[in-house]
Amino acid sequence: MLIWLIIVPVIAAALIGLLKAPGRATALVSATFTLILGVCAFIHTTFCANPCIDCWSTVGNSELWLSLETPLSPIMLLLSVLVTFAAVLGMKAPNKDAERSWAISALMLSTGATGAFISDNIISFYAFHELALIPTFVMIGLYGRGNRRTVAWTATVYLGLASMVLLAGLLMLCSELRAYTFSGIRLAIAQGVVPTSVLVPGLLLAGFGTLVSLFPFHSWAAPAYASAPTPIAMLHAGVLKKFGLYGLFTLAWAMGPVCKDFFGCWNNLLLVLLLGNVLWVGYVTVAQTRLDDMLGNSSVMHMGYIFLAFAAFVASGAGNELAHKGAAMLMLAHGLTIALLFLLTGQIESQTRTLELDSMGGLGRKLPMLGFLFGLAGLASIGLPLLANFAGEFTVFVSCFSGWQPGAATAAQGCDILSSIYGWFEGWMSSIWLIGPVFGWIFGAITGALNTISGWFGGLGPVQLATVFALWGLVISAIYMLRAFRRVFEGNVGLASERATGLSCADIWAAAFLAFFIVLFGVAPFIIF
Amino acid sequence: MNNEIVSAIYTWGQFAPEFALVGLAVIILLADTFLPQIPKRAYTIVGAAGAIIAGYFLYVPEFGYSSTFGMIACIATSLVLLLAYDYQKVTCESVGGSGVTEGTSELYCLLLVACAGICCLAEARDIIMLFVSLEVVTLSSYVMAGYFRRNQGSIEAGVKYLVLGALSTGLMVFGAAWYYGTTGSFMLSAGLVHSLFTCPMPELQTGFFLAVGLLLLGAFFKAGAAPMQIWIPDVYQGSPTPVSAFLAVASKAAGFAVLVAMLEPFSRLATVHPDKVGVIVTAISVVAAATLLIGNLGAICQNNAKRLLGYSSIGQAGFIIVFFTNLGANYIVECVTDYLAAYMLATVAAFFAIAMVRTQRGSEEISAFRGLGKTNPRTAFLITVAFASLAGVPLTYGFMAKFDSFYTLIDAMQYHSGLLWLLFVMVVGAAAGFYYYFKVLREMYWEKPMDGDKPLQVPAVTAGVLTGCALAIILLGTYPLLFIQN
Repeated sequence: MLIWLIIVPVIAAALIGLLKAPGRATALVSATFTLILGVCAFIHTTFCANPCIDCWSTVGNSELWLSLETPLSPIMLLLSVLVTFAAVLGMKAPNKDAERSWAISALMLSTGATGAFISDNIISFYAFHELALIPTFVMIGLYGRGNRRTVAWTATVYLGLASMVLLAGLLMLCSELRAYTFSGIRLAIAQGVVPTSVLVPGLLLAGFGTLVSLFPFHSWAAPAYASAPTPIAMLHAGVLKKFGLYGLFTLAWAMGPVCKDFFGCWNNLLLVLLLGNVLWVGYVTVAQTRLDDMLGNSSVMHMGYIFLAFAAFVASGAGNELAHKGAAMLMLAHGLTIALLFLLTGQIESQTRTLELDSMGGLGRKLPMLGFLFGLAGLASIGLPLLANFAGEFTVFVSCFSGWQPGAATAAQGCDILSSIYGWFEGWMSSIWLIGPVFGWIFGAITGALNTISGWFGGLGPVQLATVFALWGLVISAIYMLRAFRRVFEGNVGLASERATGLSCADIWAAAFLAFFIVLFGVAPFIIF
Repeated sequence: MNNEIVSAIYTWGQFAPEFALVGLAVIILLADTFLPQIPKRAYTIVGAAGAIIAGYFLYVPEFGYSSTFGMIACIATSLVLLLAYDYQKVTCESVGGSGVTEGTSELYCLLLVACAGICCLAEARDIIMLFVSLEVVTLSSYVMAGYFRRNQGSIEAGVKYLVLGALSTGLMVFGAAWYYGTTGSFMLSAGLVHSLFTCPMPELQTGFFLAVGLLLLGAFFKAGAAPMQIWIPDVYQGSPTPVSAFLAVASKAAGFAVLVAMLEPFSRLATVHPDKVGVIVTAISVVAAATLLIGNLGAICQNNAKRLLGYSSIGQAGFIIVFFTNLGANYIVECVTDYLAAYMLATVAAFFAIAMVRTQRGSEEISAFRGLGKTNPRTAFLITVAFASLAGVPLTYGFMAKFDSFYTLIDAMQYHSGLLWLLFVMVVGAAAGFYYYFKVLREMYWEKPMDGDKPLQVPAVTAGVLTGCALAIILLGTYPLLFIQN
């Protein structure tokens, strides 16, 4: 059955591209179909007492590499079909030709993402994601805003290189475990095979991390989202970017307790980098003067929380169910929210023809509906209770402390890549006169300081310490989001806002569709948990 | 030492398709002379059909002998002849003057003869056969590269190819002499190599490694691998486009057929003499890395589409050579032919596109592809598929091929743990590939057509071949990723 999620959008794209079928209408038919099938698949696998997982992975008598076996698959599939539907429904291209290209690339992007989320085979999982590179590249270069070609090239080089690193890592892992599917890895680990390489998790983190815009490999993301046409930005930031996190979580899930030793070496480094996402990129976001730049950066920033959940999940040896579920919820919620925000940004731009925060103002008086929806999405994004992101973020933060007792720091990781680098440096430096002792003193001071801080907080472990710092990110997001809302919608009616005429029905429906699910999952998070 | 008799390993019957190809070439030559009223263009169609039939007989083992390399060469030759059909306008301009078809049909004969040479080569199991058939290919190629006598670039290409080709031939002859001198035989057999490795005279082994090195250099010349890749960009750029396509695909297949034939004895000894085979693996990994870097990094700054494909052919050769780092594995030949098939489909399609653009827009620069996404969206899509496959974008056949290459290397790391660095070179090479193949896509989709640019008239043959190639690329690339095969 699942194969229709791939075939139907491809056929629709072929009809639009080769036979000049109307772009938006054809894409909408395809998106409706995938929406229905995707929601059915989600409901069937989540709520049925004995879901028939295998029925989804066959078509006729052939077995497929597609499956919903991994716990995150149905959720990510749901996210993918929801955002695709909204992106197609709210699509507003400048002309007929552009509409066809937008529709084709939206369909291809969503096929790539959907295919990746439902692939059991690791190579297909990788391949589907990569497929989405071409439409992203072409669309940003062709219809992007601002300095679009540079942005497109930067993103392509970053993503192309990251994919290659990732492929190398995945292949080395598969070759070591002699298993090429997620379920196969789970089986191999259960039979006692243990991956030993230290390099492989590094390659995986670097590869997946770049695709999810982990600090410091994040600089492609914000400009690309700011520049991309609305449906592309919605699908890329909302859905496709979750690919890397989905991959990390699913691999960790497949490895079970072994993942603690496998990824554990890199966990402390990961914690530092994700704080880079939350704090560094957070402050960068505050400084943005354009709405699209701000949203692009905010999407990069929020990835830090999900990485935090991953670190907690890994540190617990895949035993921390709460982290897994919180991350799933947060990925879903963030995907819906950022897609809604980009959709509304597209509408704001088409109304005011600018996204400079300074030249807008008072848009809420002209377009109260738009103001309401944007406010809802903005508040969701900063984690207001009863909206989906709150459920996700709250669970993630709580999960970081699950199993931790005051005064008893989590035991240090067996091998920590940071300490081994320090150790290597120390050994190397000590052979040089004076530099050795000085470096030794500096590293000693850093370690001492960390221990002291840990002591202040009652002996927090690395994950808990990172959580404490990451909580500050909530304040940062509140600052930039509320400021942006005030500057766009409140106050005197600005010059640009004068131009606003009114939204079309499809605009409102597309946004309301996403907003409905944000509220739904916020009020009833048990649907996901 | 080892006196196997040459006649025992070949039969006349197994060369029937090759004889048929040469016969067809002779018939075309005679018909050209005695029946001048037949339009020259017809010979390309006849030749293409003949090559396909020969390829079929090479493929089906019931006919006595099966050779995948030969089949790839035949299909490539057939496609190249179809390309020559659409390219005839330019061929006439560059040979006898605009509209004069006189003197164009020899090109088609030469293609068939060279193809027969490659088929023989693929079946060679001794160095004499190897050398003679290689020379058949090389000599025909010299003439073909310089065939456009009114075009300075083509003449330059012919001369360059001749000079550098002569050098490689010389090295090969020298290698053959050393080979005979150290082993006392021309046979390529594992038994021979084994007895040499176990013989108590180490100086003989030094001479033997020298011989193998020299012979490999000859093979690298054909395959377009470092350090024998220097001729490629200039010759591809200057040669007539069908000939460039032939050199890029069929001639490369010949090079890899030689490599497979020469390394096969070593692959059987991988477990018996791991240290000595390890020397060969180290040498191959260095060559692979150099080829990958030269090809893929050199391509980045190219603006001429044919030259770009020249560097791309070097880069792709690097990925194929990586297969040989896992010498002991039993799947190498299959992987190499698979990669060649993927490469052939995409490269031939790319050359068809270049020929079409050259015929109608008069330029072979990448910028001549400008705005095709607007003027010819369907054709642009087919070209996109071809270049995506070359870049190794997933769900194309090219991805499966590149994936095999990565997989083979990672598999080889179990036996030769020092190969990790090559993986990083491959990553760099593949990532660079995304950049330079996408340059063509950028021209097609990002650039607007210039004022005078009319939509291209896509000739029927080009349309057919492009569609066929694109379909094959997508189907062969998608099917294994969706369906579980038992």
